[in-house]
Amino acid sequence: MSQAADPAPTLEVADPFIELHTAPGRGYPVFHVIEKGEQVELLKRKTNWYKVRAVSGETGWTKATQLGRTLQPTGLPADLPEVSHGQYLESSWRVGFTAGMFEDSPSFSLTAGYRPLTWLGAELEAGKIYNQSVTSDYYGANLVIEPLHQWSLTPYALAGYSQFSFDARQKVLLSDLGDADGVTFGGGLGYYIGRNFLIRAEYRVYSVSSNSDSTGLSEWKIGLNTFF
Amino acid sequence: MENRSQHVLLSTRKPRVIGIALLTGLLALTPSGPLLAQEGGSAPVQVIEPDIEPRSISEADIDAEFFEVGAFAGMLTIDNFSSEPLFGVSAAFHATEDFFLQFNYGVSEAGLTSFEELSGSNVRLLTDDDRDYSYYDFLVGYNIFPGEIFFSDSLTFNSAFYLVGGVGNTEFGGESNFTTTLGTGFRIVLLDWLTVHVDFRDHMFNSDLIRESQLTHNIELSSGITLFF
Repeated sequence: MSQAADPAPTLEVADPFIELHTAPGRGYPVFHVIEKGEQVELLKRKTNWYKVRAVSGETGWTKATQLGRTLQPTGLPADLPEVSHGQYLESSWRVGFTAGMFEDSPSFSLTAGYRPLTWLGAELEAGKIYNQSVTSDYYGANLVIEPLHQWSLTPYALAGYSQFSFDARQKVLLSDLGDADGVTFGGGLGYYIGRNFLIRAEYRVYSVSSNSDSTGLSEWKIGLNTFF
Repeated sequence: MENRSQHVLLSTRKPRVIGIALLTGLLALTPSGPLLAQEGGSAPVQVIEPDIEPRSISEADIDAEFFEVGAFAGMLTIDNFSSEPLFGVSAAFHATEDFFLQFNYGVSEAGLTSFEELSGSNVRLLTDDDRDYSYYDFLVGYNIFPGEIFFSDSLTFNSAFYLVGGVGNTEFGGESNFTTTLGTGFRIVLLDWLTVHVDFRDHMFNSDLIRESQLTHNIELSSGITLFF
């Protein structure tokens, strides 16, 4: 709406034809086709669909994969922004959430990460653990090492530092629980499920120390990440 | 990344016939087409690199709509308590036509339990502060039945019936509770950037407020609007 001055990018159809659907989604009917050699204007993008306008004025939605085989005014195939497997391994931001079991207590966390190198990234995490008698908020920072990229399952290792604070569920029982901190080591597998989604399954061991006591704890978690 | 399809065409050796057919098809559309056509029958090994820089279309050139923010209001039936108005905000990221990630935050306030109602005004299980009910959750959504609705002969809107599930936190009775949320919803796309939705959700958590730890089902029925940008 604000880009009135910019003309929409125009492409030339290289396939025998491209189909215009009434809406961006599976199953919506095809109501028009644009033939090879005709121009299309790119108006908008929604998920993996593009809204295009034909020279004759029809406006409809076409799949990104079909539009990937169109030509630019220079005669070269269009290089449309597209996300595929492997792209998440390039320098990128990612955010996601996880759900898991910390020993016998359910937990969840939010993560935000940045990867400056193909094999090394950093991640911040904030989460909650729900014990029978205590809930804990924790914050952590992890280094994620992902050196192997050739398979669809990408293994990774992580090491990090976490800070825990506790809150008694029954206020009458415990008054002051104090804080604790710990170091984490873990590993997991990442699996790319399409466009910019990544599933991660992870196992971690924590060494948590509070009041000069140190306890070994473990956690399983599964997470969903999106990257951009 | 150069244009990938061209790279593929040039580097594959085996399907040469197809390659040539495609190449000549491509080149017929380009100004430099005749240059190659002169070579005739012998298979082209090197295609003349055009001088023009390939100008790829970047995200910024296209108005993309992936994010959705909105507000909703409805009723929340708090297990063992009463049904009360609920207000909240939501944000979603649509990564594919099928899947989305959603964040929700909602607040409500519990009324009296039936026990408190019956026992009179001097029996209260919770203080007023502890009756505040708030939750947030992170859900994965799946558009299971996309479709269209027909208001009239000339007025149709796209719609989707979707499923959501995820985890989150509920603050209630002075306690934080790990909450699992499952639900369904129906979305009508009024404009490319404006939708209206109705949601039915079950927020489940273990509570020991009233009796020994028990799984409570807190049913939300809400409706709201969202904006895409």
